[in-house]
Amino acid sequence: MNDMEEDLRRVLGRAAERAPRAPGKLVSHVTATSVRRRARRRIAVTGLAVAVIAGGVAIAVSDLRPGGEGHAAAVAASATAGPEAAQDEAGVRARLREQAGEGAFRGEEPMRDDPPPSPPLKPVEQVWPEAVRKVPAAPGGKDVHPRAFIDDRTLLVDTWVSLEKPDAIYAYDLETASLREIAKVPAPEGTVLFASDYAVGSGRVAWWSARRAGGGKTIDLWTAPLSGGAAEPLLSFPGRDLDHLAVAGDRLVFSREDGGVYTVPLAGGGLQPVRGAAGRHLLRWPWAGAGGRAPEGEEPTFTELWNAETGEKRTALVKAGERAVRCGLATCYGEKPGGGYFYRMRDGSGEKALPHGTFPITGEFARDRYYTAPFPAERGLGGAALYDAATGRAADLGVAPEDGGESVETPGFSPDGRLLAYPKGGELHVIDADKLG
Amino acid sequence: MHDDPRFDAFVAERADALLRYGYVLTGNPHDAADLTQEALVRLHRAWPRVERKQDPESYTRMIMSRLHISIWRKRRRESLAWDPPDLAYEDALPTGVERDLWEALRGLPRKQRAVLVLRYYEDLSDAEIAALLGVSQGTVRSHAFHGLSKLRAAVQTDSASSWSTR
Repeated sequence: MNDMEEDLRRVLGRAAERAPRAPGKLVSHVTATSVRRRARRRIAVTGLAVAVIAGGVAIAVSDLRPGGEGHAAAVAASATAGPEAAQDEAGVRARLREQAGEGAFRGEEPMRDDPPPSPPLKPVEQVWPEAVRKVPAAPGGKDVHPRAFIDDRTLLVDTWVSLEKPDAIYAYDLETASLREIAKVPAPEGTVLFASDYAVGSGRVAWWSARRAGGGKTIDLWTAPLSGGAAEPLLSFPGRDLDHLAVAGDRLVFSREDGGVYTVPLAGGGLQPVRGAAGRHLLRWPWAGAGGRAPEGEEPTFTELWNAETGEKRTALVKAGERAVRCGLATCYGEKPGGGYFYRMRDGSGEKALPHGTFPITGEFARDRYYTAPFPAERGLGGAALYDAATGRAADLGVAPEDGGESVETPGFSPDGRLLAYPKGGELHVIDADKLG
Repeated sequence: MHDDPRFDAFVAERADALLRYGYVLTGNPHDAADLTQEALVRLHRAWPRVERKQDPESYTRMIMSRLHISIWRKRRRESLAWDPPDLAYEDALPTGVERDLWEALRGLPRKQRAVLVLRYYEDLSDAEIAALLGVSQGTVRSHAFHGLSKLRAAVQTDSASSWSTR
């Protein structure tokens, strides 16, 4: 925690004291507005089916029932009555769903200082034809959310009961566009964080969730056989959220957001803290380092790497004046003293600038070189692109900007760096980082 | 339509805390009032289910957070019943770096601000923020990183310019 973060904490706390106080009549206002809207909603729902069909958006009408599960902002546009309002509602919901997609990011700031790429970027399917597949976004009528590759032709996907609340995981065969259920995803009483960070390996899929218990938080680790079967609780323990989870041979390995690396045998057994890993975060087993995936301010991340199995240490070059240096296993990027971003090998060799003034929106590269970022147009943002920092190649992902170029959904890679997937026009565009190059 | 005294009690007890959250999230009393009322209207509609299944206060904060970063505020809203008086809130502002920071917060995109408020006012972890906003953890980190960088730059520029005009 640096000074500015402490200042920020204090400023927000003091500002809260200046907030307006609620009038005594607030509850009657609220109730009256709610009752009035409910009456209008009955009219609006009639127009809904039309909106869904006209918009060509695959939305289950049942999912849009008034008061439907927890999608607060989806009903944001419900202030006005009639079919128009319903259409808005469907639009907002569609957008929210996209927004909630794996790794989706809405670029908020047009990079006005950077010229648009010239000549214009080619579509990703032309630049990397081998790597791109288009498959139905709702195989068998189920809206699926891609999470990881299981093998070259199979994705691990999940389905949601509501926003970010998975209820089942499936194997999605990209060749046949068919789904096979792997397991139901349990959500024990008190769960506050639903299945996250799926990791595949050794014939199993593993994930974690968190629930409130006795004033603190309990982390639940789960696994299920990839061949199909019940999800089994592997281990539960009190503590902080995880920031990395992976299968390494016969063990599950993970690090906590406050540092520390741990392993658990997949066959069951106790939690084993890795000695010497206090304060470190996993980059990719067995490599761990300080800073972790949550860049607080401008401290470097993973410039120092430590091998949890051998104790070997590796240090990346950081030059004076460079800020926010983020490293992977082989490469680093960061802000140059005079502005702009560099990209180079950990030892400092092969330095070049990142194309078009972009940088990885998630703070890390896939495969030490690929990343996604919004790109500028003449005015505002032109779309989202996939970049190869090593070669400078770039391709348009075909994601349209919104709000007149003010924002664009930029999909991000899966935590293991292999999968980039995003919905577009009823299809999922699936990009395999193993086939880029 | 239900008429549940527990809803009334919840509003009576927690409205001020929700307004405080709304105020740090939006930075002004009118938006704070709008956001709080809108969220409470939605809570009212969902009350039987929310009360049965989850904590109404976290639910309301989730709605406020998501509404704030959604396109809701760009739309014409149904005028909500209560608008707080236009007091000179800024008079109570502290001086120096705190004021600079509060001013700099105004310049942040809404998602960046929301992430910083959730992290430093609500003390949520990045994973909790991701779940609450319905985005990935990478997105949360990216917003936090860029938000903090901008605040830092703004505060630095500010002190630099006051130095040069001395």
